[in-house]
Amino acid sequence: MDTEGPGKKTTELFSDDSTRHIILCGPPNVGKSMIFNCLTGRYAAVSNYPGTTVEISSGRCTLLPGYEASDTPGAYSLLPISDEERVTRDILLNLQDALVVHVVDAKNLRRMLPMTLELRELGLPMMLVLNMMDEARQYGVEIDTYELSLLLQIPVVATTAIKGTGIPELCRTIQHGDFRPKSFAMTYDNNLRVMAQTLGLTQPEGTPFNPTLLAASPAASALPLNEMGAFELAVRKTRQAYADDILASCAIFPPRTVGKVASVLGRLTFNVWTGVPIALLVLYFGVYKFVGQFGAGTLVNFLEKDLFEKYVTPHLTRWVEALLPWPILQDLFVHDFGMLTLGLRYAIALILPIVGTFFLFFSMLEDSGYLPRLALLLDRVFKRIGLNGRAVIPIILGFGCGTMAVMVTRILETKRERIIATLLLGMAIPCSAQLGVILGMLAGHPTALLAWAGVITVIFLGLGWLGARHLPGEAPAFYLEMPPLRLPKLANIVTKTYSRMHWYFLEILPLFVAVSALIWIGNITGVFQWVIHVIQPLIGLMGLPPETASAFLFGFFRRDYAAAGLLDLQRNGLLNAHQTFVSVLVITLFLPCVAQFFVMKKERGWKFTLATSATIMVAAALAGIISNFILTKTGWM
Amino acid sequence: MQCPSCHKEFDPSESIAACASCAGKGSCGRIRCPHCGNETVREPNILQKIRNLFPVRKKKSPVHPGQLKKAKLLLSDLKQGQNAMIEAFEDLAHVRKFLSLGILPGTPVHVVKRFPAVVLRSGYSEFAFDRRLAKTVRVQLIEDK
Repeated sequence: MDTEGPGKKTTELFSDDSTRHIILCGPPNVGKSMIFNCLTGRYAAVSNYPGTTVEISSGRCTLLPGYEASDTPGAYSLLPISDEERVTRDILLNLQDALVVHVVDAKNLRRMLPMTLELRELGLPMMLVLNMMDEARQYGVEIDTYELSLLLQIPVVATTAIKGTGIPELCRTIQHGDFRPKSFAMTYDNNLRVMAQTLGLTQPEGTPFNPTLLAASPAASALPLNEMGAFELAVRKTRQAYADDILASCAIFPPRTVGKVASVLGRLTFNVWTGVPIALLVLYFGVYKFVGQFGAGTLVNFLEKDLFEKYVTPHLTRWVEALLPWPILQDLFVHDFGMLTLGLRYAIALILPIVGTFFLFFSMLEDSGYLPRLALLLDRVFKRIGLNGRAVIPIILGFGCGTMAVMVTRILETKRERIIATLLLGMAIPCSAQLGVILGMLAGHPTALLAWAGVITVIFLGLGWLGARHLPGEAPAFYLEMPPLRLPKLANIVTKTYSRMHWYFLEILPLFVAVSALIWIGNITGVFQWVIHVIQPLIGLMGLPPETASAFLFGFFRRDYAAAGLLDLQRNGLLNAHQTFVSVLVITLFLPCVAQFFVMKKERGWKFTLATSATIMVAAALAGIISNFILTKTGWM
Repeated sequence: MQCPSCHKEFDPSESIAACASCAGKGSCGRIRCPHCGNETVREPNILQKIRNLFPVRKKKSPVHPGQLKKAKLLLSDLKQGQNAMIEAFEDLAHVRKFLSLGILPGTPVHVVKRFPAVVLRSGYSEFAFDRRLAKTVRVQLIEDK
């Protein structure tokens, strides 16, 4: 994920002709982003699961003046499966005058070298980086980089990017290495040529037989998957044989010894009997205790009551009142809906601590490598709702920020899965800001909290089930590499949390302030009162006090803004338990925020976004009315 | 299960085909070997589960000439802790998923776990595949020495 976040365009590849370009490519989860960070001093998200990078990010190299580096999404091969891989392939095939740095995981060189050979075949100026050398050494892997570079005829450097070892050597090689094109060709079986011919694959005239170019030909995308599969299998077998041949003379891979603490713990997280309790514990301590109670309770209380109510708000109000004599203009900045007293206060005192604690928790989860295990555990449940276990990553991220999560749905393979995941993220997954506020509101009512969680879970599963039944397409398949459990590194967690908060804050603060200004305009012109008047009967049907109408109105701009408004009302004693429950339910289901709306549009298109939004609004209102009806009739709460 | 009469292994579900002509349609609680037609009592599921809790190493039964032709073994049939070698992919539509993780014909794998999904160890990495994918891979068992 690029730190610049969605919406903003990433720097164009090759914007400037005088700089030299470096393209980092390689399989997922080998540390391309880590190397990118080392080279550029910028920050691209790094975590311990495949598929973290979904966008290309570029930056000037601080260590190498005159160079610009680009980080690409992981690709196992240039015969692409997913859209990200296709993006990477198209970049590599259309490269002109750039240095390709192929990054691989040293201990898995055997299965990653075929892609190096594939790149070699394309004749690009390139080098190989054997990253994660420390882990490889732990396993007893020995690789003679000099011999390997002779055999491949390209420079080879060993690094441990996370510790910074090998980076100076990498820089030296980039600057002074020998990247003159050297011919490299593999001999393919004649059967493969025949196969390519019968499949109708073509490549540009005059180029030597090259399976990558053949697979990129227009005919390839129209072929049925199994025929392409046969072709790819045959190609891969040849390349693997070459790779094995090369490695036989320059590397030793001793058989793996097991019995480390981490692998025992890893085993426990796989097992259903131990894994489910572990998952519940992680969620209880992470989400409920840390985000809910500490973030949304202690921190919010401190910032709200001790900081804003006592010092900031009175001072600002006095200051603005002294400076601006006109009450109307005063209202723009301070008082009930002022840009400073409402917008700034919501953003800093209510939302920031909650989102911050969530991102901290999520970063720890990511770096530990626990998420793929959770994916494995939940795969069977997710299959029922038309997704596969891999969708755990966007769904859990959705509990942090739905906008980011919608972007991360790209790691899902089929369009059908992406649609279902986006739908679920829009409707049934509250983002951390909302969640924190909701947990805070329901903290005093444990039964209401359970009932809320139950209803949301049922809606989540029900909606997914309906989607799975009615959307056309093949059932998803689940396959995922399980990275080893690693102890999260404090520095990485802090930088990652900081970069996410930074992105989030830049995203929401202007929106909050803008919403305050809009409300101010609405108040003066009377539009606001009119809208509240119109939606009041609906609010009445839900049994909520009229004041909540304004909170829901803000909800059109951001769900969390509405949730924060509700929290404000509840703190002032305007909502009883019953009303709290209904309003919380409605706000959870409510339309996603403006940012998520636009990302949805970007990823799925207008038609989908508008239809989803309309459905969500109707469903949220219905859920409110029905739950109010049931609660009134039964007298529960 | 194993037929007590001809000692051939068969899956209880295959028995349904054997009694297709019978009006009872398998409601008799007996099971018929699809190879020799001998009827035996079906082993209750609970007994089978208990037995699975305590895996007993099977004694090598003398090889019958009819047994030489081995039934094909799929990745999904492997038990936890077994080692096997990938033999072939039955459904080439899914082959890229395996290739991308470096799993090719000839790759030795170790089954770490088979529920909720098949977890394999190959080289220094572990991979998870769901049952549907695991069923598309033919493997060859590597016996422990």
